[in-house]
Amino acid sequence: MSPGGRIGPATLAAYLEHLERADRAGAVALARGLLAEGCSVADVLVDLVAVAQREIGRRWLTGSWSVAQEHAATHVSELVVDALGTAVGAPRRGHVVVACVEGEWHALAARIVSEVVRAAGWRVTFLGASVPARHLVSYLHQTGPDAVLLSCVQPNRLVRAARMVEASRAAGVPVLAGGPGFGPEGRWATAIGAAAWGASARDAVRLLSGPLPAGTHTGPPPPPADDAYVAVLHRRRELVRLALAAVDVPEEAAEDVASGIAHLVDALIATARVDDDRLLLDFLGWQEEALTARGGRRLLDDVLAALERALAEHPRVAARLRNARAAVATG
Amino acid sequence: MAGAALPADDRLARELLDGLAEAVVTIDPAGVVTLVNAMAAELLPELTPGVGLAGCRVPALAEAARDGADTFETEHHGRRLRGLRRELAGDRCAWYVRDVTEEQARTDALLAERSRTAFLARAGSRLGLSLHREQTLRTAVTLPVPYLADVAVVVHRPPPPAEDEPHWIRCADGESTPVTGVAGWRTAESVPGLVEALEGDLTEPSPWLDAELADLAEVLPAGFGRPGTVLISPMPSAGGPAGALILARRPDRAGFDQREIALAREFAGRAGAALAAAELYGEQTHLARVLQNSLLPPKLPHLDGVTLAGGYRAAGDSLRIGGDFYDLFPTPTGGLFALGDVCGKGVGAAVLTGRVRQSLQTLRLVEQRPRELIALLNRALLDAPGAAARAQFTTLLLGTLDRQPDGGLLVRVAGGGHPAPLVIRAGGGIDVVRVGGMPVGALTAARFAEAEVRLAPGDLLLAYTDGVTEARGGPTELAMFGDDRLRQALASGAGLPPAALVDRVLQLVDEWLDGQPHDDIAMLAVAAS
Repeated sequence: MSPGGRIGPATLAAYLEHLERADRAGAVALARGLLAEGCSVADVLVDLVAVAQREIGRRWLTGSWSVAQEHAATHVSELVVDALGTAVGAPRRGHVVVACVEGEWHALAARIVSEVVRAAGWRVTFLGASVPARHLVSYLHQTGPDAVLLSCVQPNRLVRAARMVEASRAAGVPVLAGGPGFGPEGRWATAIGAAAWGASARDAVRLLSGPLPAGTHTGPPPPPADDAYVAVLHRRRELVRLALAAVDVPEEAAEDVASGIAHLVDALIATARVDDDRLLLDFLGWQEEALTARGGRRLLDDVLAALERALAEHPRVAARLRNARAAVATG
Repeated sequence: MAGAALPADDRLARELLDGLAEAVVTIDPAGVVTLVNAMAAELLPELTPGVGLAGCRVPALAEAARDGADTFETEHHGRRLRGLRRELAGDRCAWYVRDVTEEQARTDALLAERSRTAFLARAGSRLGLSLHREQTLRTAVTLPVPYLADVAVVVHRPPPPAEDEPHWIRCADGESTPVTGVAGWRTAESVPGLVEALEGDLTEPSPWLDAELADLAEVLPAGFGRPGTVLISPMPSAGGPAGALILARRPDRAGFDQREIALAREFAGRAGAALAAAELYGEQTHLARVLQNSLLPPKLPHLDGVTLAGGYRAAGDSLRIGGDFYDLFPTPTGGLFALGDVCGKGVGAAVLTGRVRQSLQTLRLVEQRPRELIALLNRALLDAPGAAARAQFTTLLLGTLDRQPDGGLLVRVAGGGHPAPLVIRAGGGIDVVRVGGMPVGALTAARFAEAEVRLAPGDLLLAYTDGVTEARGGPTELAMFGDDRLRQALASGAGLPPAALVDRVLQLVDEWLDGQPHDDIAMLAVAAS
């Protein structure tokens, strides 16, 4: 809640109603009105738009909203972020680059961070959703910013995030990580070489204004704790193929299942990278809901078993898979 | 017993003791010196038989005796001594003292050499990281502090178009981030050797022992006071001097010795090379960026009554330019749009893309009817010098958007061999707008076609390039994304605003590709609003 309590449950409900009706003008007017009443850009974006976005995600997950409704509502919030961005003055601090990890298309949270950081006086370049590591590197060498803010929502994208962190460090730019993809309280952020992790846009401003926590934040990243990581990473496509061949799915569901398996293999690789089984278990807990409709636990167990067989020569990785199977079996 | 074989001969024992390279001093139970050998007389002349050890004039040894310690180490008469105590029979003891001066010097030299090597290795890897000039400068001033100096300043001349005037950047022990400023030539001239270093006339670092605070005050932190010693090193590079490195130490710190001067020269050389590389890269990327900006898809204008969104992904090239493009020009009744695909990839295709867009921008001033405009463009492209030899062609959609009284849009599209645009109706149905026509820029006798479609409010027209449907990936990694998947994605997104729909398609194609290389991708979505 913002100081003065202007953004309370009633305001949130009104805003969500605008989103539900995809009412752009109404949503923008509500946000502008809050600014006029004395709320800061950060207050409106963090306490209203970001909170509403979590609610949208919940409604989509529980099936009360369709994908189209979710997209339309998100789009309205993006327009609100746009409208508020123009209210920010000239930059008086350094330059930061905000990017979503490659493959991540949910850019609203990163855009909110961009605007809140901009409102705090920084020059901000938002590179957009799903930024290829190559583009990021070329941009960093061209502009030499003070920091990269990297957003990652899903932990199975952590391997790609690690590649982007590595690229930024190699270009001499420290990375601040943000988003639930870096684990509970961001516990996996430093394992892949990020300087620090923030849970919200306000954290990002706080981290940028103080010196970064001790440690070296550029140069080669910390090595993976599990040396099977590289081997598994190289066999990624082969593993997806093997696991897909081991399950029996109707043709029309094959594509969905294949992409689910690819995500699972990515999560496994990320687990080896950060050496924490919690990543795989959390991912499966979340995946299970999505997979229940298409064969559920049985299918998941078949996939895990196939991967375990294929990776028998890497005892630590195989053990992670055995663990995961046990967790899935007991629910 | 071995001891039993020794003769009870004092003279022999004395000779053996005096022949040792170690000093030997024996002490009786009362702590009084009883015997010193020849080396002891040389290293510790203060000790003679009868002297009480605890009060002797070798402070470290006296202290060890008082504390009951078994070892001591000290500097005595310019020698480094290390002593070890051994118990002897009858409550007596002996001190064995070695002269370790040379050994210590070698160890110190080795450690110093190691730390210098480590410093240079760290400098090499850190300086190699960035290709950006400012960041390289930051690294160059951060690294020497505090190892080589308390303050490091790089004075440099920024590349054109900046005015040719010395700038400086400083890192000081105790300051969290580097500070920058403009020095001006007058300040530079007041520092001996600085201008010479900047001009490339000074080749060796030169220590400056009697630095006046006034000369350097501008580049030193407030309150630093008068520096002790200052070392100015040129930063040479293959392309001439890249700048000058000023290292300053506080008065309470020793001056620069020969090895440190050599180290500063080595470091300044590496920093100079890194700075020159960054400058060169900066020039090249500036050029590339200017070109890139003229070739990237434009920011779409705002048109009354029309909502627009574009999507663009270039095939793997860090410049992000390619052969696909879209453009939109406002007209009094709406707008004129173009979306096309130049055959080929990368910079070569991008250059032709630029020509097509330039030509369109000019030709639309004389012709606004789509089919006529596309024919005119065809003539213009074929008329360009060397067009026949290049044999490059372009597939293109060119259309006008006209606002209708009912809030809808009338779209007239002319085609040149391009995939047919799709109309996603508000209710979820999808219509294919069959246009036809032949590619542009290939044949003088090419024939072009035109189609017309009405968009009611909520309907959306999507024009796309074949990079979307021909993206290869999926479970087999070889299957094309295809028309069916595209239509399915669009149908499920009926009613979405153009930006959300374009993002959704980009996302699905991206997931389909799963990291595999792809061709250029462009999309333009138009809706009546």
